[in-house]
Amino acid sequence: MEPTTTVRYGMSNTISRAFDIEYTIGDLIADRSILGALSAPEGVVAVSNGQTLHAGAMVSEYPTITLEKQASSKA
Amino acid sequence: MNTNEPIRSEIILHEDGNFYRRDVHETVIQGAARALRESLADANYNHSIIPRGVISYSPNETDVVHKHPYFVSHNVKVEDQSTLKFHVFVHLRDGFPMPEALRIRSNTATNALGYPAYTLQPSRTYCSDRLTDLDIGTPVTAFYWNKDYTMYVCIKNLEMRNDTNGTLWNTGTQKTAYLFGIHKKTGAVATFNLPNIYDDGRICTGPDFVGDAEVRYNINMLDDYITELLKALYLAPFNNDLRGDDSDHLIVTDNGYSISREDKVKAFAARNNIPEEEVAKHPRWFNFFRPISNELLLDFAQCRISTTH
Repeated sequence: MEPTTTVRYGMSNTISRAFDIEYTIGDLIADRSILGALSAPEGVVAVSNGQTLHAGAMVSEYPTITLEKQASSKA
Repeated sequence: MNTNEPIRSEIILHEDGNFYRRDVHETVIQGAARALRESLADANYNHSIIPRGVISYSPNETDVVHKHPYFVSHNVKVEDQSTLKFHVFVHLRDGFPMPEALRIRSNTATNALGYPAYTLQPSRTYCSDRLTDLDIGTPVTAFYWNKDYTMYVCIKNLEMRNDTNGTLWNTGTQKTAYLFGIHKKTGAVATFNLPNIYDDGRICTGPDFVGDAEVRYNINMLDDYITELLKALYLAPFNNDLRGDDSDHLIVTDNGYSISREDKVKAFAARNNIPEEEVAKHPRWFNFFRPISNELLLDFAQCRISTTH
């Protein structure tokens, strides 16, 4: 069975599925269907275990990935 | 430890008559001694939440005293076994202080609420002469406090080096701090649109938020180390870049604490001369609470929810 990866945005939005072995972090954060399913905006970064993942890394290598919105403004 | 898979989701009927969805997660809490030992010795990533210690802090300018447990989380990749890297979460039961705010009485809000209510302005926008001549307000330390949320400050990336004598010292690396809250009913995680707070919850600390690199600590002096860092956050003046529109959210009482959400609705409606039911539809109102997407803060929130319900 292919390993699944859980992608999370915010406290309650998650999807879990098996990703193609060549599917990269860059593909993930540009995938509008996934971003839409998670209600995540464009321009997020992918983080796992405290490390920001680079665009060429393979999604399937991580059991969990959190999409983080970057700060855009200060009150 | 996997904090991502909910054990169960349930719909609860709260005493306020509304239904709320609650996800309950199972986590493993390690003992503090074991977790700290592993963070020094284990070459793998670790993640646990360790209730620890008491912080007491009462600077002259404010009256903030933390006497509540705080939490240490380590999410460590140990490259050098003499280095300890961890994160700290401090429970803000007394609110988040905003020193040197200028408090100005709002007659409209006072009339609407039935008790003295004040708006806040950054004191640095007014010169001392104007303060004296116009008597437009009194600088105070106000506190943002929200009874709907359990509020925390997270100080991320604390790093201490361990020498051969067992003494730890601050490595002087830049720290990042966050202000956020966990909604008591829904478990939603949000930050607040306050001065000095970015919309991802980061506190604007400036480039030198590193602590005192000259002071030596041992592992039992963690409270002192964290207290020093909190002082730097708490003494930062109420910032000039408070946006005018959002100052409507910052209404405080005589003792300097922010008012309840229900009273904010009343005050907002009165000050803007619109019906209360319209306030809930006002988009600016909801911009005050900003959802958090930070992995570290979400993991902490999930762990806290699973251990408090």
